[in-house]
Amino acid sequence: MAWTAPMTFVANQVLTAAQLNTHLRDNLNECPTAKATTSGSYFVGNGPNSVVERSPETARVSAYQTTTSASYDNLVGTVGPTVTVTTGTKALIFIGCLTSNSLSDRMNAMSWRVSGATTRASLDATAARIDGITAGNLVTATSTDLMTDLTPGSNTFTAEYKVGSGTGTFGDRFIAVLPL
Amino acid sequence: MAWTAPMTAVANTAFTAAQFNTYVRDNLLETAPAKATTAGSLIVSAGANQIAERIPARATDYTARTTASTSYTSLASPVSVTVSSGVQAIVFFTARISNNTAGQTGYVALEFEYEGSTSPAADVSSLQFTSASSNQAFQGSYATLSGIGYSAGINTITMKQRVSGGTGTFDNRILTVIPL
Repeated sequence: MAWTAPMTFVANQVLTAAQLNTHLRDNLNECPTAKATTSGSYFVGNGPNSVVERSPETARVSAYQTTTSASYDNLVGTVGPTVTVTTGTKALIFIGCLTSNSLSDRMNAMSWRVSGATTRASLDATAARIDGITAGNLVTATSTDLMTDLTPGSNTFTAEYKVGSGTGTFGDRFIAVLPL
Repeated sequence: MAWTAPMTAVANTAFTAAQFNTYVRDNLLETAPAKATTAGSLIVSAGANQIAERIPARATDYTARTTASTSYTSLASPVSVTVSSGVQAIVFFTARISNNTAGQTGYVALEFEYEGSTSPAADVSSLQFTSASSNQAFQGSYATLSGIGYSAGINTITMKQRVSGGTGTFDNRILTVIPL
């Protein structure tokens, strides 16, 4: 079923079962109340006269784990955090962590890659990143981005990490995705 | 047309064309599927018995730009979005900040300009980083609700930058606006 622009009735016109089904039943079934399935979800446009339910997801890894990789990769230990959501072409992503480096004046970065319906590698431009901190000092790093070029469908967002040099430590890592 | 509180039917009362048009047609035209036009939009409340579609917007500049200005400025390539909105918006912005002089601070804030205003206001909320040395940098995000100068209608939000001293470098600037 789909939305049909509600018809205009004229006095003395007979309301048929087919008209009731099209203009009342089917249209009501396109409304958020009919589509709601999950507490905490919200509704977004899905094109002309169409709305769809979306559910946000978040994941966190508390453990402090390390990397010496100069290209984005998993940490030694737990991959991620990772979330999988159903999206349209857009999603709002939040990431963050506490991070330090074994050496002074080095770069640490946390970003995310996308897999599933979309394939996209981690990017420096949208990373949570620090440069040049004193060795061993923990710093909170966060980043946010509205992605607008996703392929609609099931998309998985996985946090990845890298350093300029030295050993980077990352803990209290989180990722949250609000699909649109 | 507008929303009308649905009537209560009474047994043996004729259901007229005018009633159908008011309580079924016109009310259905105030529902989310009737208002939706764009994939990835949000449907929000616009007042009593009113909803509206809002389109999230994003602007970026990934090129490193510099300034020695101690008052807020747009830099060579302003990062700005214009949205149709209600009385508020959720705004996220990200930037990488560094300074060529140890002990000096780089600031990134938002300017909100409502259509027709002659004096846009710079919001006091800011992302800032003080460099302990010239090779330190920070890349992170800040989030806020729309501030002074924002009103229902067409609003332009612009990232503004300044320093306390020295020359600041700002890159990977991302602005995301979720109008409500």
